[in-house]
Amino acid sequence: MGEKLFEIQNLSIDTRRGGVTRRIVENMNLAVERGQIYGLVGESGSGKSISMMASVGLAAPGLLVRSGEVGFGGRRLPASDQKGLRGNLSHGVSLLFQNAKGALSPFLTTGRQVERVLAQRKVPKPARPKEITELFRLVGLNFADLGEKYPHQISGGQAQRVAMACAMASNPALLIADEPTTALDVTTERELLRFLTRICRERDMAIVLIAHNLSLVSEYCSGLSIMHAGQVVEEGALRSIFATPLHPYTKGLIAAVPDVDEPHELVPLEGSVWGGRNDIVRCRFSHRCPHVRARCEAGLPPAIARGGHQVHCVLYEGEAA
Amino acid sequence: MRLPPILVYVLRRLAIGLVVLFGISAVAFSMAYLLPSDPVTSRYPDITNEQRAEMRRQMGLDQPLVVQYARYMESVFRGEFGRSFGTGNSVVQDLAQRIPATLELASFGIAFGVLVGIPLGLVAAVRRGKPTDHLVRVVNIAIQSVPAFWLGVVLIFLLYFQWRLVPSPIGRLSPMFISPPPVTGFLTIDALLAGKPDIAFAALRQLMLPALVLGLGVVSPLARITRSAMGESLGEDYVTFGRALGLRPRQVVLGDAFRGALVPIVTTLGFVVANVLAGAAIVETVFAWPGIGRYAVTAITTSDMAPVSTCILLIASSVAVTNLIVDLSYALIDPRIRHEYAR
Ligand SMILES: Nc1ncnc2c1ncn2[C@@H]1O[C@H](COP(=O)(O)OP(=O)(O)O)[C@@H](O)[C@H]1O
Ligand code: SF4
Ligand SMILES: [Mg+2]
Repeated sequence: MGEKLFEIQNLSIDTRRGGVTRRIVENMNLAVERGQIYGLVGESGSGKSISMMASVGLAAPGLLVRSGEVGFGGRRLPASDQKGLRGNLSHGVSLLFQNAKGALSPFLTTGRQVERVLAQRKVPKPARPKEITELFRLVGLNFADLGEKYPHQISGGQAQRVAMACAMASNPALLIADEPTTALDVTTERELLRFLTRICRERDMAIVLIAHNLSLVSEYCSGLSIMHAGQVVEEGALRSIFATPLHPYTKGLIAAVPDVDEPHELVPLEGSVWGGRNDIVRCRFSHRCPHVRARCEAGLPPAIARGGHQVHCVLYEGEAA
Repeated sequence: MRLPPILVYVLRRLAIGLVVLFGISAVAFSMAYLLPSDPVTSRYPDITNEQRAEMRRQMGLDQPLVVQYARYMESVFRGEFGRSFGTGNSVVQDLAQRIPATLELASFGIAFGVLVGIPLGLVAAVRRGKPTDHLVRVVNIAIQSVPAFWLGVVLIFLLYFQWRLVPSPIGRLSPMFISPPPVTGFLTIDALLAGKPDIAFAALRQLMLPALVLGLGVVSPLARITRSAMGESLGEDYVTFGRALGLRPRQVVLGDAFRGALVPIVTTLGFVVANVLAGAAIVETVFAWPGIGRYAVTAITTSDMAPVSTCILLIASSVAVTNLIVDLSYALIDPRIRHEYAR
């Protein structure tokens, strides 16, 4: 077991629209070790982005963070202290987004974008050009070619690399990458991920890799959480989960992964949208689960440790680990 | 020889602008011609019919409209815009005197509108849905529902007649002061240049109220567009990413998000300038401001044709120039548009 770097405990988030409150993240836990590549997988709309954004203080306005704590390094803060959590950004936490071209400011050259992160870190002006060139090299770009270009003049893959250079400029210990390759073609995707994992080893940086593609995550991650409708259903060592998947949802997913080389995406299945009432706390997989029983709808399913991981399902109640 | 692409763009726009102005000149001319009253009759109400016919012949008014227009355009190209019956001066002379007055008034008015409207919109966008946002909306509605002339009269009544907080509304400078030698045409600046801060202050006091009334009309449209454009750009991915990089909120909100909102804001500002020129006619009349707005109103009510058509041309040209400046500023604001133009 490595040293724990980043931890989310008990995170719950609501939205309210037209007087109706919906719980979109329920009792989420997550723990990432220093230098670990951790996968967060779930079909689209399962709450991956929202939970991670809230954990760094970037919950969209209108979202209500109801409970939870976030630990990073030695610091623990209540998840409702969004402003405090934003303090972690540029002090060890960085992010990457899906739409890299849209994530770069359209008004600045790529070189300027990296530079202002360095300026934020109080790197003195004379030292910046060298560091910018370094960062461009680190992400596999040539500053002389691209440094004076604007985001609209470069490709999506290049934009994601520039975004990486920006993210790396604050020398983070944790990079949260929210589907960083979804907008890219398969070849560029592999290239970028290989690259990201290499940097991660070189710099002892941890990554939370958000994806809706299980086979992709299985290649790079050592830890894994699987989310469904705002709940984490199974989490822990990736190897253990793949060897003995326990949750009915996970079992279905892993059985459906045909081949590691063939990209397989989790498409929202029929009836996947959480349609239940929010004041009733229960397993949100129950309406799709073949093993559903009364206990499943009587409360939050218990977390049960089994092998190298944990499952949230009543089926394993009472069984010893 | 290859010109820089942006220059080609400007030249193309100027050429189009000239064609448009040509069209407007025709409209301006016929509008002056179609004014209900007859220039000779309104000048000399008591003359005989023979005298009237003779005068019309002398002035060329008996010729067909097309001929009159051709003559008019010919003189315009020579830089002659005719003579005002009202003042007895050449229109060019009259305008040269009055344009600085309107420019100074409009500049201060627009500056006031921009300095109040944009921050109001910014605050409302950042505090969207919160009490501040609602307060800004109420203020906006209040401002919008007050007509400029009414507000002008009320403010004069309260601030001048009742409380003596401002000087009497008698134009640009009280006769107690001597105008500074004209350099920029702006009394406030010229007085400072002449080393007369007391005169600059007196001119500023005269200017304050009409500029405020004129500028208030700019506040609401700017505040509204700023709020909505900022609301949109604050939700852009680059704003979230900027925050995620730990950049200071000021840098993200005022640097990136505001710049992202600037194109619609500047567009609105362009429209607003045209409105200000129209509003100047009212404000100048209420405050006895010796500018082109009042000049044009007087000319229209007395069927003074040369000033009317020239004023229309002048206003149309300034709108055209404003539009060109607006379009060019897009290129400054957004490199994507800059590269689009350069193609
Ligand atoms: N700003 C928001 N306000 C309210 N609800 C939102 C907002 N953003 C996302 N949601 C809802 O929250 C749920 C989870 O969204 P998200 O975290 O983006 O899913 P994922 O990243 O797993 O695809 C979705 O049902 C979505 O409709
Ligand atoms: S808790 Fe019940 S409904 Fe949920 S997965 Fe387990 S058996 Fe199925
Ligand atoms: Mg997402």
